[in-house]
Amino acid sequence: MTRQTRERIIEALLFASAVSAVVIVLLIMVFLFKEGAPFLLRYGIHTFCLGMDWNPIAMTGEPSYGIFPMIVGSVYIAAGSLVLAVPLGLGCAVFLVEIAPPWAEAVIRRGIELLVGIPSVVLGFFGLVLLVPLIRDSVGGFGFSILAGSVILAIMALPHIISISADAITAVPETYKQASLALGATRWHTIRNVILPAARSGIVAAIILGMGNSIGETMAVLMVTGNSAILPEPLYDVLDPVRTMTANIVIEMNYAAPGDHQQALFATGIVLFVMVAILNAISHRALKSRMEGGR
Amino acid sequence: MTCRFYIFIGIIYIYCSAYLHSVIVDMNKMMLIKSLVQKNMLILMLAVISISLLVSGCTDNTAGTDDPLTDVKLQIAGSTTVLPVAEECARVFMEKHPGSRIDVSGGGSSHGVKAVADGTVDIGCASRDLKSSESDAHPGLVPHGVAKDGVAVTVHPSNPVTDLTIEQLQGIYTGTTTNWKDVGGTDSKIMVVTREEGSGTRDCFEQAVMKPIKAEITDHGIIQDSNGKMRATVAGSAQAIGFLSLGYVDSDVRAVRLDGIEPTVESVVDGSYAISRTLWMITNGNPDSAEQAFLDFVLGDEGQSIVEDVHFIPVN
Repeated sequence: MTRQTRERIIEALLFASAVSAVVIVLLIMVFLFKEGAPFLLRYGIHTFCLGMDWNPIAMTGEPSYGIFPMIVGSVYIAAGSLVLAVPLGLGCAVFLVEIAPPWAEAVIRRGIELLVGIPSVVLGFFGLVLLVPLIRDSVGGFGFSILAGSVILAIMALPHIISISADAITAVPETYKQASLALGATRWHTIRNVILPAARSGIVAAIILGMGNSIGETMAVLMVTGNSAILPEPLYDVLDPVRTMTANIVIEMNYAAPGDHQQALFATGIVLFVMVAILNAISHRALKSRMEGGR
Repeated sequence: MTCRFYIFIGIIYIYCSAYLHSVIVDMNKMMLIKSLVQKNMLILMLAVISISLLVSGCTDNTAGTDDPLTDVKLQIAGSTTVLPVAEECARVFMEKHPGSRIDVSGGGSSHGVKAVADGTVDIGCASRDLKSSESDAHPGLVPHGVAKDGVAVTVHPSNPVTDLTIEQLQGIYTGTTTNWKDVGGTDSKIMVVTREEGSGTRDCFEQAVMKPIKAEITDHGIIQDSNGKMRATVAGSAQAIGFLSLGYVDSDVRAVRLDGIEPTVESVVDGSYAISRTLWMITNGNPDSAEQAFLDFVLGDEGQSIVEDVHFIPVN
């Protein structure tokens, strides 16, 4: 085989693998919308997204499909996980890049890589048998709660937030730091007023990506949040159980009879898909603005 | 065999794209770790492939060609509660009679009844009795009871409540009774645990407990999506109450007596325990020879021990 033909074959293979990702996404989108969109239009996007009552198999009266409590649940848990994970993750990233001696950095990076490797269902089980009783006994409520879901998701979001914001901090030009230190600023001053602002867009991207991941996460969350399809009462009570959109799809898909119920679950998937796509687009914007303005 | 072939191609494809991806992306970063991972992956892939080839080689020997049941071709669909019984029986049946083919799919009890009535499938599965509307519209349907199931109401072993009446249970599950002291327990909030909409266990519970008062299970309950998680939840909380398919009850939880009757295999079989049901396989008219062969298998010793394995109560 000549070098040229080999090159061509490799190029073709690379092209095929690149295209396959796009094709798969398109196929999934087409499938999702084909299954869910007719129901969504028939039932009304408005009544579906803002409806308060989820009762697909009614004992009495008409079934109702309202996912507003689940949208709130998903957003709550994602936001809660960020509140916990962002300060920790950002602190860790700053430490890794700016302060840590090489051996400490190596140890911590290994640890973070291990954290990525823990399957989410294992984290969920950990949450179910350890975290839920802990919250019940020390904070209150039944333990199955927004708080439990947020803690588990925060653990899962940490590695992503750390690695992306560490990259962003590393990308801040060395000259900025040198200038600041030469002007007599302390290390903390430099980190807070020079490095973090310069890395801001990358950090924002990390946070939004983290949020997208959190909203899309399923297995771990559904084991610890209680899955009640109601709004928390009062609305700020983080010890109340909630159901996320992902959990709604997973727990009912097994049994949903073909027809409205199944299509309603696909429609839930559409809402979720649109929300995550918007978040990804925003984070892409943020990353792009860093590329253009940062260096 | 074709299935294995696709899996094989799929694995190769995934491996190739993962490899190509890792070549393009991140050339500078973590080279060492990546290459280590790749080597391990390669070994893993080879192991998976060789095992799958080995297994396919093992099961492909078709012995006993004089078996009269090699041409059994059946389609089964319906209740997901009956699904494990049907699937496992079909698998063992096909193993015993190479060449036979039984396809099993879900869709729910109503789907099962409808599908067998209009001839789309040979056997429909239902986890509830035929409705009068169904047997009126399709008088030819013949239900065969293949298993029984009881649903036990369980609490934490430390809970002093050992007896509940149906009315008390209705109060708890509609959300009107919220404290254990109202049903003879300690002064603590009741944590109602229930199953997801569509679950066969939930349906059985609803039919027996909630339907007489035409009420829905409270929205404020914790929802778990399997018998296993339900048991873990009840076992982990002193305030919890939840219902479990009888086969899943063990010493981690305590089943309460309902109107004085202990949920046991005997009380379910003789019908004295309130929350129970029969799992049906339905044929259109009297079963033909292929259907009869499969039903005989399900109702025979082997089939009934499968019923027990998947946590239901044998009928024979």
